Amino acid sequence: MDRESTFIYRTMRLIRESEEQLARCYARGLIHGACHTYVGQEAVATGVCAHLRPDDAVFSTHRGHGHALAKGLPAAELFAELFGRATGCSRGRGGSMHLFAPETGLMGTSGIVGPCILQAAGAGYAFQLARTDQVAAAFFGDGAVNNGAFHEGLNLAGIWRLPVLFVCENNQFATEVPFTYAAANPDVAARARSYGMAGVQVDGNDVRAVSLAAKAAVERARAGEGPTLIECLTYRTRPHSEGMGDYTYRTREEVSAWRERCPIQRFRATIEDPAALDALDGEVAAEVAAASKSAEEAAWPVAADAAAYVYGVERRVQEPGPGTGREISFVAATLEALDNEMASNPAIFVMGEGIGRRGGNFGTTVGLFAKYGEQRLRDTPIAERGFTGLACGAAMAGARPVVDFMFIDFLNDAFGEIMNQISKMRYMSSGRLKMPVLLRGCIGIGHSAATHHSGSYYSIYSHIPGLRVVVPSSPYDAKGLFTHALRCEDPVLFLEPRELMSAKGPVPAEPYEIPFGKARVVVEGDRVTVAAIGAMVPRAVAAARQLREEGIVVEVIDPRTVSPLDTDAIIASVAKTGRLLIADETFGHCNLGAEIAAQVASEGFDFLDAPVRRISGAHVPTPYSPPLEAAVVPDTAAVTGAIRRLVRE
Amino acid sequence: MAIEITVPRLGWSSEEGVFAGWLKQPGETVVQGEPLFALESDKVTMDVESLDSGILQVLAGGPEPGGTVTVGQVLGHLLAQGESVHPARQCASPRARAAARKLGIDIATVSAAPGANRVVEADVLRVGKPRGTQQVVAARLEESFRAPHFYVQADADAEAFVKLRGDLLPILEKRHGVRVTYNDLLVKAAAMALDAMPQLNCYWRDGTIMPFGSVDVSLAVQAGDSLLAPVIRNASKSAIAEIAAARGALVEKCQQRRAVPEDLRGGSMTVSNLGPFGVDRFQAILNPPQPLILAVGRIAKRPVVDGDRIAARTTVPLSLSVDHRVINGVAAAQFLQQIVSLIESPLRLVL
Repeated sequence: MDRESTFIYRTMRLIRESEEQLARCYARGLIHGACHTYVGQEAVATGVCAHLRPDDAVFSTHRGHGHALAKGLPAAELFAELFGRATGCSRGRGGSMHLFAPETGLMGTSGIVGPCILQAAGAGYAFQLARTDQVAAAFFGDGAVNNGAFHEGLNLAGIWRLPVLFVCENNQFATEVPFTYAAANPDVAARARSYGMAGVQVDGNDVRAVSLAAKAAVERARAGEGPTLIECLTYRTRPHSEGMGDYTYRTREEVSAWRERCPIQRFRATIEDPAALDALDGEVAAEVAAASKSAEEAAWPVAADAAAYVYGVERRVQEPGPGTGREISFVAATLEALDNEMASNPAIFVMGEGIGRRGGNFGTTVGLFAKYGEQRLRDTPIAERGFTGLACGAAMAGARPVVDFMFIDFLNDAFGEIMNQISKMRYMSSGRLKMPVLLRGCIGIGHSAATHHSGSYYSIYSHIPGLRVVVPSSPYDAKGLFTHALRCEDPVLFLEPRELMSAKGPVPAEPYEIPFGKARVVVEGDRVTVAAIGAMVPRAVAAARQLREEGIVVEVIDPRTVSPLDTDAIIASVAKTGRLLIADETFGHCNLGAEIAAQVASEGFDFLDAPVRRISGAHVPTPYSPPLEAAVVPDTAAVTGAIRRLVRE
Repeated sequence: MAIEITVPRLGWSSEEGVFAGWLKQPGETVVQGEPLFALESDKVTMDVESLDSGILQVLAGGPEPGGTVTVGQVLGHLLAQGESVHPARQCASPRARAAARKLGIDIATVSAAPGANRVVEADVLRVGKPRGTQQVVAARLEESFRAPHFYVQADADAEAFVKLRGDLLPILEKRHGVRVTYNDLLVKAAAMALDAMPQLNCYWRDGTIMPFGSVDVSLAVQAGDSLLAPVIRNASKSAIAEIAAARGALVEKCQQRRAVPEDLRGGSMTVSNLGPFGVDRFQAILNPPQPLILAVGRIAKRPVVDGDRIAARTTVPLSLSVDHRVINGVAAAQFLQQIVSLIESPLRLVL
């Protein structure tokens, strides 16, 4: 028997034996959450992975046990993960739906349908950028092909000729919803034409057919000829998830008929020497039994480590201080930082609408296209979810994407990719995947930009573990924090107050970093503390200057990064002044000011001589007309008035 | 209508005093003119008489005995039959409460600034300044230091003195129910010395020397965290048992913060004995307007030259501080010699 046949049979048997043993373990209560088996679909993962190298990347779905095993994950680590043990492939952080083994090229399985398509495209982008011949494969069900991620991901892969296999396992049900009902055009392979790529439909229960299609697709990808969509018609013969009922949406007869088309039996029938297969059967049975036993005996993870791997280790850096030298604008400061880092780090590339030859709507990338070329200054279609998800995959595969959203309101279309994927990936992979994604865009109210170009949203994004959120208010802070963001291991949301982007200030010419989580005392004072964020900082400074003439000496603190938030600095200031005003332009309800107020009330209670007061934006979508717009955002007079009232309390 | 009971402005300069306790029970009927509560300041405790009649309602969260109060602070109300009040709750900031805890001040005794509805840290710090009595003490000490001091010192042999006190102790305890102390004997010695040298029984006032009308001796007493000097009247004419009884009553009043101005007023000189606190010798500063203060050190065995030998003898170091405007050096030396003589031959103290 040839090597490929041995791999195919052994792998399919390993998947089947493992799944059936996992089903038993589920019944015994060893598996604590969901358990989605791959029984009946073994030929797809096996046929594709037969042509992948360990350094090729696989991105998978909630039904990912088969992909993980086919890509080389030891069965013992799969069992241990589902049993919630420390030796599991995700160290107990994932379970059935979140398997990570980047060392085998299994980049991750996901509980959300769709993102794996974008991530595979991103890994393909990273491979293309690094000029390797690696390929990426996304496995997804028929349920994913009516999702925006499929459309955006395949389109991006199509226009950029990315080395990716998009493998649709059409098992005919999205959980319980029939594909024939859900798809207006149920011919998945035919959709490839829409994205300018090759498309092929194969019998997903015929491993030879799958293997042939995958071989051609992998060769095409390695040769730089772009992506392929492979539709594999198949069927899962166990319920969606162990323990769930199965016959409300399909019949026993249908399931029995598909069992008869078992891919393993069909392959076995083609082999002339069944004795060799019997030997493999025995080997696999022993391996699965040993895996199950070892997982059952494995240690539990330590509860004290539950919060480990959320963030990378912060490097210690020393900021130089703004000095009094040359003055440049906020935008020029970040451009200088980006240029400098791109020159020294070839893994950095920028994506966004109009950031290529045009140089960005706000001049954020002016001059870089000529210097670094199209691949590193990549204009995108208007597909925020698509290219954000792609950035996620690119980072997982070793690149350092910068996504320029222009206006941060657009980023909300990519919320799930940020919240569920980019921010959680490091933790889910127990620190093995680093996620250096820099997401940038302008924020804030002004110039009648109206509600889709005026948002800030950092309060929302600060809520997300794993994400750093930066809101600089000066050119000096902008350059140092931008440089730090490009050198750190974590995803960073870098928000640029639009009203400050053309403001100039002193900025050292040489590269420097400002650490996250370190506030800056902008104005020193002892009577009242004003913690101001973003565009509210210069307003607070103006108020402080005015009030000093009245004998009220105000201390202004700019946290600079809102996640992590330097509450220690704010509390230390309140310890001095006894009074705190928080100036935050965003909607008051649940905003960052509310968090600061809660922290100070909790940890600085005994320092307070008056209630913590906040001024915030009105809780309304930002209106267009100047008098309406002015009415919803606090100005300098509002800050001054609030301070005067606070010192009288 | 409810009548507010407030802290009155008494005859002291401070805006603050120490609340010494209610003299009526909550709910008790108070008649105009009856003592209602006690206040302490300038080392004295005074009973404050009620200006009105009514049923006493003590303010919830009002001062505890020992708490600082400010002039005008509401302590409670006098109510008509069936009347009740719900005074507005006075709020204090967390910072003020923390400062009060640190300074050992009852936050309920601190008032907010005029027009403010919340006690803040600054209000606590104002109250937390040295308390009324301590301020008076400080002012008096500053005044004292303006007097040009000089000091004369001698060690008295105290063998006989110690034996006398030891002999007297059981007798006086049995006969008069008092525990005689060295201080009683020292007060008597000082008084007798002054009696023998009446030209020293005088004080400096605005450029002239004024005589005291009687020979009274103050005794320095530690009362809580303040220093008081109650006066033992006519000590030279009093028996030791009488001095001991008077001294015992005064010390107790001081320690219970019940001393009245009369207990502290006057006094020709002061005896201050830090011997019980392990002090060998020290110099005291004057208690104005008195021109003399006798600082007494520890009574202990010390090496003494006896002829050509060194002998261990019980001695008591004495240091007399003198206001040079009133008394010259020789007179002071003679006065100290008188006291040394009385200690070394102490029988005269009880005859």
